[in-house]
Formats: sequence, C-alpha cells, structure tokens
Amino acid sequence: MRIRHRVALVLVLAGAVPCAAAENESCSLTRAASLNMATDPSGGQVVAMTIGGRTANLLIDTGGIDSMLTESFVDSLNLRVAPLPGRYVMMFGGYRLDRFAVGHDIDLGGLKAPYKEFIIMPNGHLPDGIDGTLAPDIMRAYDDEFDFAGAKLNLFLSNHCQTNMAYWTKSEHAEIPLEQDHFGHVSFPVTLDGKKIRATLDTGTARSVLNLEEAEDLFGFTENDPQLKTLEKTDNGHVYKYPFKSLDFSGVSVANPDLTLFSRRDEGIPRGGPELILGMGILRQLHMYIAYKEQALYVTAASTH
Amino acid sequence: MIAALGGACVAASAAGYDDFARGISANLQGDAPLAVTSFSAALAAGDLNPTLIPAAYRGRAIAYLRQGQCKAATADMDEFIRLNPGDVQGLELRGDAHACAGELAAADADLSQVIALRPDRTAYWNRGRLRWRQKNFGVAADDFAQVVQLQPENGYAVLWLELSRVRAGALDPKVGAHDVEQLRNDDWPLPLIKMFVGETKPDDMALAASHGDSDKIANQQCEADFYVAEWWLAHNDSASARPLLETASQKCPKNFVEYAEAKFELSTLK
Repeated sequence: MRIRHRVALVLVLAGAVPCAAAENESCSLTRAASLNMATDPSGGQVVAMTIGGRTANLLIDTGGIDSMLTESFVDSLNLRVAPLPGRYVMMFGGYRLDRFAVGHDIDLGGLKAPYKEFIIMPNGHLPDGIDGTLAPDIMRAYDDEFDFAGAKLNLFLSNHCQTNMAYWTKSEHAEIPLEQDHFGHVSFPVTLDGKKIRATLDTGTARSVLNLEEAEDLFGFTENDPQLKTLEKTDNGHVYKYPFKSLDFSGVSVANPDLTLFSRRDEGIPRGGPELILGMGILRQLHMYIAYKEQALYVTAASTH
Repeated sequence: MIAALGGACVAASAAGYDDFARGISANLQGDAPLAVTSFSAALAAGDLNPTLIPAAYRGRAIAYLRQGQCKAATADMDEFIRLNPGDVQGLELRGDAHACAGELAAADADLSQVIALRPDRTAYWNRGRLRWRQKNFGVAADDFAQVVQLQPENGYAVLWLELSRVRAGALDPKVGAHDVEQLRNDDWPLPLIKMFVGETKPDDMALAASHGDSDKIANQQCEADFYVAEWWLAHNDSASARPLLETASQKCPKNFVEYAEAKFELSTLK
C-alpha cells in the first residue's frame, strides 16, 4: 500500500552548484548535488540532510517508499506531527506506521526546500546513529549515481539528452533496461549462473535475498541438496546459502555473489513478489547510474574508471 | 565529459576499494579472519577513498573484537575516533574494546563521553553495567537510577538498580518498596526485584520462574539462577553462588545479559 501519493514538495534546486562543464553543454549531465556517503557498520550507506538546522543521518533506502525519520529525531526537533489522513503503511516486521512529521528548512547537499513531510518510524529499527531513511520519494526526482568507491551519491537533473550516462568511464559498461513500480522501486533482469532472473535494487538491505522456491525451480535443486547450507534458523523458518558462482549485469559480473535464500512457504509470502532483492553486499561492488527518464541502469564494476 | 566531472573519477579507487568491500561482506557473513585480512589490505593499498578509511578501521576493529584481539581492536578504534572525533557509536565500540582488554577505567572514560554527548537510557545502562563489573556498585546504582528515570516501566533497570544497591550495602527497604510500587507490570522480573528489596526469599524464585509458556520458563529459570547467585554474593556467600552461576553460564542464551555477566562473575570468583 502506498502511504503518500506524493511528497508535499519535491525538493527544489536552490543554490546547487552544477559542474562547470555541464552548465555549458545543454545536452550533458547536470549534477544537482554530490553527497558524501558514510558507511555504517553493517555496510549501509548514509548521507546527511539538514532539517531545521540539525543534521539527520539518513540511510539510503531504494527499497523504501517515502523518506522517514525516527521518533526520537522527530521528538528532538519538536516537529509538528499529524496522522496520515486515511491511510497507513505496514513496515517490515508488521509495524503500522500512521503518522508523519513536517520538517522545515531542508537542505540535501545544497538542494533546498522550505518543508518536507516524513513518515515517522519507531525507534530501534535502524542502526544507532541513523535518524531515518532517504527513499524513492526524493531519489526518483533525480537521476541517481551510486559511486561506492568514491563514497559519493550524485544526483543529476533528469532533463538531459545525453545517451550514455556511464560518464565516469571510457571502458566497457552495461546498459540495462529497468522497470519502476508505482512506489519507485527499480527492477531489472540479471543472470545468475546462466539463468535469467528479475532483481530489485534495495540499498536499505545489507545482504541480498533470493526466494528458495524460485531458486529450486530455476536451478533444479531441492531442500535436501548437500550444497544448500542452513545459515540460520529463525522463528519463520530457515535461512539458506547456496554456492552460486556468478551474478551477471549484462556483462558486468560479480563473482561468488553473497545471496541468502528464504522460503516463501516458511515466511507465508505469496508468489509474485521480487525474485531477487539486491542488497548492499552485492551492490557495493558496482558503480551504478539510474536514469529514470530513460528507464535504464548503467553499471560498471565499483573501481572502474 | 570525464574530465569535466573529474572529481568523481579521481575519487574512484581500485584495489583498496575492492578489499574494503570484501571486508564489509566478510563481517556480515561472520568471517572475522577474512575481514581483518581484507580491511588490512584496503588500508595498506594507499588508494582507498579518504571517506572510507574510518569505516575500514572500524570494520577491522569489529573483526578483531570477534576474535578476542582486544588490544588490536582498541588501536583501530583509536584511529577511527581520531578521524571522527565525537562519534558516539565509535566511542561505544572503543569502550567495548577497552572492556574486552580489561581496561575498565578507559572503557568507563569512553562511556562517560558517550553520556556527555548523548545522555540516553542506553548510554547509562551500558556504563552502569561496566561500573557494576568494576564492583563500583554505588555509582553503578546511580546510572541504573538514571535508566529508571528515563524508562520507568523497564523492570530490568529496576532489577539492576536494586541489585547494585544491595551489593553496595546501600539498600533502603522503604525506597525499594516504593520502586516496586511504581512498576505497573506484575510479571517477570518482579519476583526477582522483590527478592532484592527483601519482600521474598531466594528459595521462592524457582517457583516464581516456573510460570508462563515453556520458552519463557527456560529463560526465567536461567535468569533466576543468575540473580539468586547475585543475592548470595551480596550476602558474602560465594559457595552458594558459584553453582548457580555455572548453571546460568551453561543454560542462558548467549545473547542474554545474564549469560555474559555469569561468565564474568565466575572469572572473578576465587
């Protein structure tokens, strides 16, 4: 269920400093913001947003819907809180989120807005020191470049006519057609050990997740396969690991991808959800540019330049 | 175009970053030796983006800690905090590393800095437990009293407050009875709190721990073993405490406070 149809105000450009060359070339990319990405102990990527003069450390969460702030951060700024009118969202774990807060004087790497609504999330669901999430409600207003090796999240204006967005390299790169759902989640085809599978990008997840049943159907193994190892036993069933060799992004390969496998049966999840959720364990090995208007993902290895 | 946007290209790294990424993944997968090797290689490569260097030190410190290499973890966290002064999570982690190395005064100093920067219940709880380990029961009780003030419904905070007061020889039964009255929940661990404030006896705990579903009972019994042992220690009877501590250290889940503290107590008993 979508929790907000739109943010109160898409962040507007004011004071952003585009690249000098980009200003002079109407067809080239215009960088609207370049944000330092810190790495939390679990490998999550964190950027700073200023809200009412105070810095909020936000986990970049492409698997989210609307950006959120923790209760404690909202309390510390004494932000105005109101119920979400006529709707709510169920957070992972079954928590019902039904309130939002209005932050003022927003600054995200020089992108400014007078105010912005944030869903309020309960404390204790993010690592210590993280005050909320940066989700597709903001991120899809721009093209997003994830330069993990350079520790930068670059946001570009999407109204360009450049056709190759992998500007950081003259080497080979992959250009993969992507789909967006109405939440702004991005999915695209990848090849896992020679089999095509659809993957959804989720920077808010540490490790990547594959459905056990999908894997069994695709690769022909069963729960009794000796290569399928149990990693963990949870209240909802087992977490497995299988020694996949390669995950291919149209020519850019990640060797020995770290994938955990969950059973839909055990979790009680109906079929039809994402087949593969790509978390930071794999994504940090890539350099990616999401071009929303062109519906394309540009990929190289993280250290390619 | 590459030259025009050259900042990003210059910032990009090669070998160092690949090792860094491997280190992060190794920590997530619980492979501490690989994490140490990978972060060490990342730091030695010389081309790791400066923004990532603190995370590499912290990642290696976490891996060292998991291997019990406490001094090495402390040294890495020193470097992390030098690069990120005032980082609360970094100070907490260095406090853990100091405690692991047996440097309790240094750990106390780190946790006191955490409280100065972020005086929340977690910070007081962590320092209270550290001070309890130092057998500074009076000041530990002060920290647990802060936790109770910030979270009055937290029965375990009240339990550690009364336990610390008893071990400090500073329990006022009237104050203890008042603390019990303030708790709105009659469930576990209230029987343990009542034992410390003198309203029940250690012999009553086995029965009290036997109420609830089977999972709860097992956990309550392990907790009862530990806290009854503490009651005996408070009454200078380590002979009665020892077998209970041994049982708690064998039967309590490893993520329980009581598991860690039972092992600690056993290590200090002569």
